[in-house]
Amino acid sequence: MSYLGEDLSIRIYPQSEIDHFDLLPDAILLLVFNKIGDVKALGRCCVVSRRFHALVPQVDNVIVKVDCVISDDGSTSSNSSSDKTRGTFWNLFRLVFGGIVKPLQALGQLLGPKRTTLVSGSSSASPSSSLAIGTSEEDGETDQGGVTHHSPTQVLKNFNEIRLLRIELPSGELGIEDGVLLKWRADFGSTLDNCVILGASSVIHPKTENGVAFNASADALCSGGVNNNNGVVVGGDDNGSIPDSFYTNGGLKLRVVWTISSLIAASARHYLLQPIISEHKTLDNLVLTDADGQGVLHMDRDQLEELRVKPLSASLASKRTLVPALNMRLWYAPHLELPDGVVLKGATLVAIRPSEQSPKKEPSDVSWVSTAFEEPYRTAARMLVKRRTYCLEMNSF
Amino acid sequence: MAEKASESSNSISLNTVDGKIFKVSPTIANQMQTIQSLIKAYDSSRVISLPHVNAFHLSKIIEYLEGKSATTVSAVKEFEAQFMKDLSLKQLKGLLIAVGYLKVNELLELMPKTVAKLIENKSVEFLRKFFGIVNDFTPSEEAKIREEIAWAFDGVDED
Repeated sequence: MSYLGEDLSIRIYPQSEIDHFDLLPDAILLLVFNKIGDVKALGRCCVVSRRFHALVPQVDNVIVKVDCVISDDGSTSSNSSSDKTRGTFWNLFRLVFGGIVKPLQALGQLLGPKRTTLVSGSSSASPSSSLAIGTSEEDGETDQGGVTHHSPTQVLKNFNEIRLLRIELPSGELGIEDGVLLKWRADFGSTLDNCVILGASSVIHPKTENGVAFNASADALCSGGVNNNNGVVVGGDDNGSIPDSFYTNGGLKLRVVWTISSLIAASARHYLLQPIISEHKTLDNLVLTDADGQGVLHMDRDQLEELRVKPLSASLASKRTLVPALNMRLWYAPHLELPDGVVLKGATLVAIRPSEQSPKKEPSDVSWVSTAFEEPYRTAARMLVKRRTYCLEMNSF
Repeated sequence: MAEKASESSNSISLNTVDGKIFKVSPTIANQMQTIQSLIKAYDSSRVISLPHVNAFHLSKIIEYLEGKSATTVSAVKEFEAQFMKDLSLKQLKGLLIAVGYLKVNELLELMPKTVAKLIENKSVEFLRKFFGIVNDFTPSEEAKIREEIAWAFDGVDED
């Protein structure tokens, strides 16, 4: 590394009263900046001095935490509690195309700290800068006046060497009931490459006294399933098949709703990433996640390049990427007990790939399915893929 | 000096800028990339002078390399946390420069992470003080930049 200038010795000896950390080699400052990640903190570093201002844009690892999301209906929400659903199938079904998924309208409005703009016409820096710091040190909520929204695209415009970019939404888009587990992970290129969804109608924690309270109404289907299995309660004792009641009591429909909802959420996220991807050519890893840990959209270097070369096709219906015709494999367990004692009721794993597979991908290979999630869900997925596989197909939408 | 170094056939002698000689095992020495390449380039029996590193910084680096290699994963975590905690801000900065010079990869991972944690929610004024930097923007330039990145001033800790 070239930062080892001869002046290093001067820097260390003699040690003056003032710390000359500003003389830290650029390469080391960049190491520090790359560990910061958070785009707001990096923004503040830009104001420190000319040298910092020149260095920060060279950062290659950036995290954008989105403060608020403006969804299709124009409302601003920082969490999804307002669109919790009732849990009945019909309600959910309606909401798939209405409210359960709040497709993000545009990343152009995603990032919006609630604060007023700086006082205009302030020619001297000191009042203006003290205002900026002052307002942020006070409760931001008390700010009056217009709310300024800054998109990730705007926020990132000065960063021209980003390799790893992580964008975090304040919450997952899917309004699911308390106690219901729903997680998805999708990989995209120009279109969907694969998607894995893990769901459970309820999660029972062993040490929670009121664990039963987690049981959602959808859980009824599981007990039905258990009864049909001649009272076998412990998973693994059955033959891995789906009980008949699954098809008749809404269990399957609910899983289809979960699947469609997740795919809509994922394809809406993908659509919104387009401008960022085309502006940041150096990107080779892009993750769009949410603070709830509900959905993770991932694109690696090849997939990003694919999108740059071959633009996505948009769905006619809304602002999202067209989901291609799909092959889906589904695994189900009425009662899945994880090694740590947590029980997933009505545990469901869905693995999705486009019908037109690239030839090199072995269709029976399930390793990508069992590694899609972090623990403990990784274990859950690994246990589920050992059970009987059910295949479904879905048209492009 | 060559005689001193040959006392132990394997160990490598490092001479700091303040004239202290450290004898370290090849395992430790090789974790400092700068020294590793010097050993390769020269006769390993000779004392390697480090004009940019003082005894305190080198002793901390050796302490780290010895401490983190001897224990289990959780113990290493604990050791690293304590190691960083024991450093004053001034020591931290000086050590970071030494670590950069000697290219101690693990510390080049750990230390920037620690510094990043210290500054991530801080104000611009705090950052200037922390890094010892004099603002070289004109007031109007600074105002303009602050306006451009107005989104960056949310959620800042008090200094």
